[in-house]
Amino acid sequence: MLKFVEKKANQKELDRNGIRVGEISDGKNHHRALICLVKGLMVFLACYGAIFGMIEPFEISFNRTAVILAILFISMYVAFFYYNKIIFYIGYFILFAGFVIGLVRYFLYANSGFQAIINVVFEKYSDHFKLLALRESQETITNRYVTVTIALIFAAVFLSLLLNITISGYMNIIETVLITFPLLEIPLYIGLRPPLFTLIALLSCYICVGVLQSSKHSRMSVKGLNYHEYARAKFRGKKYYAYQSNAKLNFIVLGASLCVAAVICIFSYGLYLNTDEIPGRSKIKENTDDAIKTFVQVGWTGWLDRYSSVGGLSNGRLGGVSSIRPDFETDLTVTFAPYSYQTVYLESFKGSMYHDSSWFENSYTLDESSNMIPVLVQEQIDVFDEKASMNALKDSVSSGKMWVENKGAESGKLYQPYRSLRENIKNVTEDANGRINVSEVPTGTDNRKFYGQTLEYEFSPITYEEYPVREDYTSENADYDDYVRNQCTFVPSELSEFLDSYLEENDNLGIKSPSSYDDINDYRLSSAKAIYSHFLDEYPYTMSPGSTPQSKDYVRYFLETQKRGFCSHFASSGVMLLRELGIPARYVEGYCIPLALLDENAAGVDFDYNKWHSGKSFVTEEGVLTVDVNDSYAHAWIEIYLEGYGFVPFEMTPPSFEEAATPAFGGFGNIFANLTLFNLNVEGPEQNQATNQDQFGFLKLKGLISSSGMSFGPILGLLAFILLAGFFLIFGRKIYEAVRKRILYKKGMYMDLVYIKYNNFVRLLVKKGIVKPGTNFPMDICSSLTKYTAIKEMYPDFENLFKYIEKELYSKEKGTATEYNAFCDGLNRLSKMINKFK
Amino acid sequence: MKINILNILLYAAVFVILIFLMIVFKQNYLLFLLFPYVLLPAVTIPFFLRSITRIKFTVDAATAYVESGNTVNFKFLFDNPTFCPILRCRTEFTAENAFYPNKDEHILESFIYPKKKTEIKIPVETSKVGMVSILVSQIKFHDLLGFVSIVKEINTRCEVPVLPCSVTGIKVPATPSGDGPDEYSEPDLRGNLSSDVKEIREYRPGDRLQRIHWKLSAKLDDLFVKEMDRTSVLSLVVLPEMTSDKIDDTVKTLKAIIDELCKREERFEVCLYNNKTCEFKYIVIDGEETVFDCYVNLFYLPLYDTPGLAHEAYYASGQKNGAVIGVCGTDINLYSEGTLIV
Repeated sequence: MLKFVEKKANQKELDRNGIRVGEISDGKNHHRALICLVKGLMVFLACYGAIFGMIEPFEISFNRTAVILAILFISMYVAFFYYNKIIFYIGYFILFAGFVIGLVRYFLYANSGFQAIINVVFEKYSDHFKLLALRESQETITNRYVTVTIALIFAAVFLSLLLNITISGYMNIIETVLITFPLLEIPLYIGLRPPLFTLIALLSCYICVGVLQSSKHSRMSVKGLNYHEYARAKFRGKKYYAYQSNAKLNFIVLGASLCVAAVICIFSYGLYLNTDEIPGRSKIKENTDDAIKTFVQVGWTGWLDRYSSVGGLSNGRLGGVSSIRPDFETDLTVTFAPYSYQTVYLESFKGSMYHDSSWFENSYTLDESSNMIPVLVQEQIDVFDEKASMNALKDSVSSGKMWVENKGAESGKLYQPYRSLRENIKNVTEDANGRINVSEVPTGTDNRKFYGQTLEYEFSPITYEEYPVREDYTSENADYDDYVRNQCTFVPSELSEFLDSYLEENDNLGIKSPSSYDDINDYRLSSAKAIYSHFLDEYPYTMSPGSTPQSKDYVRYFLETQKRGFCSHFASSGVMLLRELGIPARYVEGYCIPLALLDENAAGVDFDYNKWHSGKSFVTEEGVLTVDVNDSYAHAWIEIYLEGYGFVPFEMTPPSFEEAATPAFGGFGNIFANLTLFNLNVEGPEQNQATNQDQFGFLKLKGLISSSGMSFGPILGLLAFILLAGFFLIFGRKIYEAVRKRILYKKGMYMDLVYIKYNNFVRLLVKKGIVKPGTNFPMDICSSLTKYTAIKEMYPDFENLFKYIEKELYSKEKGTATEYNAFCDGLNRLSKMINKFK
Repeated sequence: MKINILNILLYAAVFVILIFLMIVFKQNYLLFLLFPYVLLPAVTIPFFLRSITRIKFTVDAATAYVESGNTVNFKFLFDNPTFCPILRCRTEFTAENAFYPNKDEHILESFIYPKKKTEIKIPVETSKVGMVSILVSQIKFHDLLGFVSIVKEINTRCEVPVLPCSVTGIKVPATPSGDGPDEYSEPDLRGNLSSDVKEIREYRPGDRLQRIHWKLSAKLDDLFVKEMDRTSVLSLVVLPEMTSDKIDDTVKTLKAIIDELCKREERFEVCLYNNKTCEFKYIVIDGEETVFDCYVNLFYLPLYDTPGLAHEAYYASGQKNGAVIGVCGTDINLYSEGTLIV
């Protein structure tokens, strides 16, 4: 078809100008095989440089000879795709089939090999960044020598295929660098240096491709019917002829590039080996390092986090991280005299208002336009909170002292123990002689500015179980009362509806009505305990629950869909459920010091115990301890308002039973694993539900396929891909043709349109056996049709159609739209008649 | 010399990016990449500049003429005596048939080998007669990295006439006269030969015996004949009309007439009319060379649209009397003293 079109156009040009520039050549036989061979060498150098440059610095054991031979073979194989069209299509098909068969046959080896490489790389990165926690992928087959070799062969197939397109097809330096250099950057980033020969290979390939690209040649189209040694193009009325590729020239450039690269690498190798880091700080590098750490510890989903996933406080922002990633660096150093075996809480953020999946500290009211207007600022709330608790403890004789040094926690925040008064906060300093001075903070100084310094808090060390009953306590401020009774029981209306139904579905979590309790505080505490028990039974703790979609409510998504989470999930949901029951509660973030931490990390300090604690103590050994609290102890809990006592802390998070390492599957590095493994060991709640109902037998089928040694997901994906590709290949062309016809019609280029229609018509005639293949000229076809009396009778003036075709195709005269439309009608009529022929 | 700012800026941008990455990401190994990056232009550009001054270009044709329907093979020849290859060389040329001028500009992107001659064949297919020419206007050489380009104005033309191929089926009418006798026998007749010797040449079969220069032949031991001047114009003139729409047919018919008249061994001349200068040029056809001359001269003539213009001008300007064969397209008209005979 293309050949015919080209012939037609050439003939037209010849008729018009009397001449036509033909097939330009340099008169020599350019063996395409040689061109493919040289390009295959380029692909080999790039592929070898990238794979070995990436893998060698990590000192992974594998069969080098086998991998080099595989790269060489595959590079040459794919380079020969450009030899001609038949080889191109057959070659791709064989490669694709081979890849799939190989993958099915050796998927466990390949997968284990990739996991091994990922594990080794992560180990090195972990060492470099001194990470304490690390993701570790599961290697099904432990013989790394075999698995890594197989994995690298698969990687070589994939990489060669890509590089063949960028080098043989497009000769594009940027794409080549983008494909290969990131692999080399993996060791380079952490100061590991790839060997010299891999650098020479890669650099020579870059120079060669860059130079050939800048010469605007050396692209090689697949040799087909419309192939020209000098590719033809028409641009701005000028005719361009550009040589496509030349084996000898490519070979000269490749040889020269190898020499240049070798000289450069050998002479500057010392410079390259120098691993001293360039001095100075760079924010971008630090951010990049953070991103890499996130990836190493959490996986690529960590990059989607809406705020930092490193442990610490989120200050009421919820659902934006998929995983919590503690860096285990000390945030606070706390010195105090333990008085109980219960967890000590240092409060910092108090969330009163829940709105749009976030907690806000101040007391707010929502106006009609959903704008939040603060009605009570946090300082006021804090003052009344402290008054409430101190009132309750008026007769308490216990008192304690606590030093909290902010070493790495968020600045601008206080981390204070419960039942301490802000008025009594003091600044602790140490002079040059090591003498400790405790000074009053000058009036008007914002306590929150003492970042990096030690603050002293005085507090009443008592747990709420020991609170003396003070029924006479009433708040002295109506605003604060309103804050407690209304703001701290506020639930957004949409969430309220859901929580109602949720409680109803779960039999109200076994909570009795308030009237069945004598004391309202008993009701509130037993409700909180019931919710906690419910969470303990139904909702497992995990540090990697996945992030909450932005369109979803955090609490609802957790209770309804996610069904697993970390402290802020439990605390937020607990607060909302309590509020739905009419119990004033709020969300708190801060640090907790559990007994286990004191057992493991606390160190005794030689301070006078009596100055640090007086009154009742529940611990047997008395002493002052100092303990480093790292970000893994950042926590979220809830506070319940108890009448007479104010807000008291309550732990809503069930204990964690998961191991420190995150699941083996789910990160970016495990995409391949997810593609190939039989069973994915991450089973979401939805999947659990699905197992209960298998109406259409899909799971049965899945099981059957799984038991036959094939993976269900990848096969479906592959089928879908093939179907999609097929769809675009078939219909994409049709759509393109329709659009093209429309454009041609609008531009009045009827000649091309007539040609297309005429060509289709000729094909129909050939198919029906009316004309012989190769008969193209209109009047020849017209004379063939005149033999058919039926046509003549039904369409006497059909000859006019062919006259019009001849006029449009062979004369300089241009037809009109009316003529073209009439032609279309006539041809359609004729086609219909011929279609009826048997 | 043209400096390609965009390419240099792009190159510099990559350089800046590398330095930026080196400083920001504290990766000193990037210096290792900067090294060749700076080195490359410093090496390639001087070599390129030296090569350009020494490259020679010629354009040539493989044959002196072709018959229509055949391909004229032009050759671009780049002679590069240096070690530096030119990977990008842009040759601008036009190709046309003088009778069918076109404005197509052709641009050939090619390469030049180092240390040898690079030959590129430009085949020009022909379908009609005329003077086919290629005019190479300029060549632009680019250095390896595309930083500088040098344009060389060439303006070299190469022409090849496309002659008509043999045509059959055209009937040439019988002409009223052939060669006249010598002046001694019928001195008044037109077209007779004079006694003045024009040149002496070697004997060719068919020459009259009386024209043999016996003395000279005896001396040199080979036969020589005297070529005589003519006392007056010949009796037969072929007059082609240079009408633009029929020029191809006209030349083909002319070819048929010439072939036929040569076959009949008639002496005749072709009269070519230049309507721009209003001049007539006569070419006596007495061999292959003159036939070729005739076509070449004809191909340089300007075309016109008015049919019969040459014929009118011929008689209006009082040109030679006698038999005239007018050729216009495939039509052949025989006139005698201005009167149409056939």
